[in-house]
Amino acid sequence: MSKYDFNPSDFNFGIHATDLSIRAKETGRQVVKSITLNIEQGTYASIHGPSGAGKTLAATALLGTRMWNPDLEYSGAVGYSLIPKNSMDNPLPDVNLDNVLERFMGFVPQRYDLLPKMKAVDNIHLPSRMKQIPVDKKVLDRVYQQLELDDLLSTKAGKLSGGEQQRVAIARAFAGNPRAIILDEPASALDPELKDKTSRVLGELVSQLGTTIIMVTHENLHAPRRIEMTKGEIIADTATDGRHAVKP
Amino acid sequence: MPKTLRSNNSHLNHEVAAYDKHPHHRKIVAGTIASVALAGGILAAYNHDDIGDTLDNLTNFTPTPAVNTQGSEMMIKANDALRDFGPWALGLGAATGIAYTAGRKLRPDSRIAAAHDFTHQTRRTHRVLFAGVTMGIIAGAAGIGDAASKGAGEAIEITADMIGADKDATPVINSYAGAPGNYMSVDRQEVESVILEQGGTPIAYSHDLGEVKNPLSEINPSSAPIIAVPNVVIEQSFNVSMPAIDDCNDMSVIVGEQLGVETGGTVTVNDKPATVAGTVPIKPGLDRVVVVGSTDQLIDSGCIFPNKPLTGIAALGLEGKHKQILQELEERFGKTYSSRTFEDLKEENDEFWDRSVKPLQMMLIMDVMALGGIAIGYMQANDIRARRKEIAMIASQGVKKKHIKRANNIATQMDNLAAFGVSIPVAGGLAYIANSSQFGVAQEIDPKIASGYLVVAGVTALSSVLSNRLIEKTNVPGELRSGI
Repeated sequence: MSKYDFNPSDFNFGIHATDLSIRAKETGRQVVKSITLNIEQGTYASIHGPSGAGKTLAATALLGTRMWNPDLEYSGAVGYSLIPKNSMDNPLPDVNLDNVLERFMGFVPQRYDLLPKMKAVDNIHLPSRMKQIPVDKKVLDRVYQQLELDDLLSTKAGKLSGGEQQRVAIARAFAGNPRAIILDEPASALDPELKDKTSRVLGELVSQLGTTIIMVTHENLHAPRRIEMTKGEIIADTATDGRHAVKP
Repeated sequence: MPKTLRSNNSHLNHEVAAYDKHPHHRKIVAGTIASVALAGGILAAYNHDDIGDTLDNLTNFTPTPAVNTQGSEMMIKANDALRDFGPWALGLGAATGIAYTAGRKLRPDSRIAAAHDFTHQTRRTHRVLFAGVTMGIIAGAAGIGDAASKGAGEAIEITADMIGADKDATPVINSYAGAPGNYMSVDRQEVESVILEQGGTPIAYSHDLGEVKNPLSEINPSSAPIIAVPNVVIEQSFNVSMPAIDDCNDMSVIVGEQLGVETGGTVTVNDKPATVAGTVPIKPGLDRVVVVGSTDQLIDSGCIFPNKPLTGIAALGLEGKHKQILQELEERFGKTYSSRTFEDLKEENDEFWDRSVKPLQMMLIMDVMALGGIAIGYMQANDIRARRKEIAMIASQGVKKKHIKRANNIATQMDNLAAFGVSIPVAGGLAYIANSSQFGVAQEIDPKIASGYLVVAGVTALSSVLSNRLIEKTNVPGELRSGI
């Protein structure tokens, strides 16, 4: 099997952190303290906590070393599980961890980081083109529909409003049909109505596409699984859908 | 791929377009064109060989605009400006670089301002234009230096043509070997007697440097190669006669047309008046105008060079018989002369002028190269720093840095190629201006234009290495979160 000659949808992708700790090299301050997380395929989770709780650092650490900050020291383990849905038809791809992560995980940064002089559609396709991975048109059409992007695709990103830019950034993360997407404060620049809508639309996409969503937020966004962090520790991991254990 | 992706001129978009659908194909195309340009430059540099000559014949042409004073004035002003402001530009460039570096050290977050609104995205056009103009100027400056030294051999070519000599075979008796370009005198009677005895026809000629002026012009050449050949040769070549005269006020000469004096007009040769008997479209090098006169008037009548020993004596009809003539001269007169062909003389003269004229031109080229190199390096380094956030954005989407580096390299090559296209009209324009001046330059547009490309490509290649290091060192999460 070649590097990308597989469909991520044929696999269940899990993210597992064990005793993950993060320390600032310069000050020695422990910003994330020995957290353990298991995130299975299709989870829609939000990581809540006040500013400085270490929630973004913990979440982005799950994206792999490309998002590890060289000013910080990481310890513990972050691992990933890749399980074929049908082991007879879908052998494991013969690729290294970096290839797995770039194919299976997406990221939406807090400021969206779109290129303002490129059209929305070009922004959405850019990472997939650079990675030379095929875009699943059916998935993208569904994402466009859910995010109501069809009329905005040919507009330059710099001319879009904050909410529209957010939707484009989310669509960009979905373009390569990854199995898990981490969003960093996706609603921080939005008004309350749009915040609710974002939360609802992401839920729709999880149920339609089976993509795992991990949302880092200090807002009151609703997700079926809610992970509470404060001072670098997980103080609660509650599930409203009954699938997840609650960690004190 | 949507066509729109290429319609945008952002550098990143350009990179993606370069990388995107057929990365290997584009790499091959970019590599092939760069290799051809490189090979062209190398071949042109060694164009004494057959391949170089063939390439020269295929690609060279010399713009031949009408000579006018505007071209001269433009060149004088440009030269004055370069001399006056070149050191300032170099100094200010260095000072700006130091100030910028110091400023960055003192205010490490200042670059964030530019990075966060992506204002750097339009810089590709600027960079291509700037690099193209720099390439063109370097090529133009190199061309002027080359034309200056090449033109210096024109006087010898003209003499051979007038005499009707076989440039590769007719012996030319000069003074002893070892002083090319600075010919010593020959004893006319001795040499002529030997040539006549061996059945040849001796044609004595003289080359010397002097000064020709158009008394009505403010701009005059700094020197003139003055060629003196027997009147019989003048009559055959120009259909005018310049016999021996009693009164030097009756002297006539043929001059290069770039002096701007028509036939019948008056010029001064070494401050002595002479009537223009004709003009020739010959360009004997930087700031020089050719003067052709008869040995009968210039030397024998004592009008310009009284009692001047001759530079050389051509032996028409004795083609290839160098040894016989020299042997006879040594046996009969005990003199050690040298016998060369006109082609040998021209090559030696070119080499002499290469060393005596080119160093001055090379200073200009080096100034331009240094300025261009500093500016391009600065621009590239500045650009890549501003692009860190862009790099971080792409990397955060799972694109490996090695892919970003590859795209960056391809884009740099494609920028260079686009700039190469820009450089051709720039170099051509400079050659046109130089050739329209009164300075006796006949600059060719030839594969040496690759010299500009090589300099710029070399600098951008080094910048690319620097860029790649910066890409590698970009702190992705730090860059994404900075300034929020």
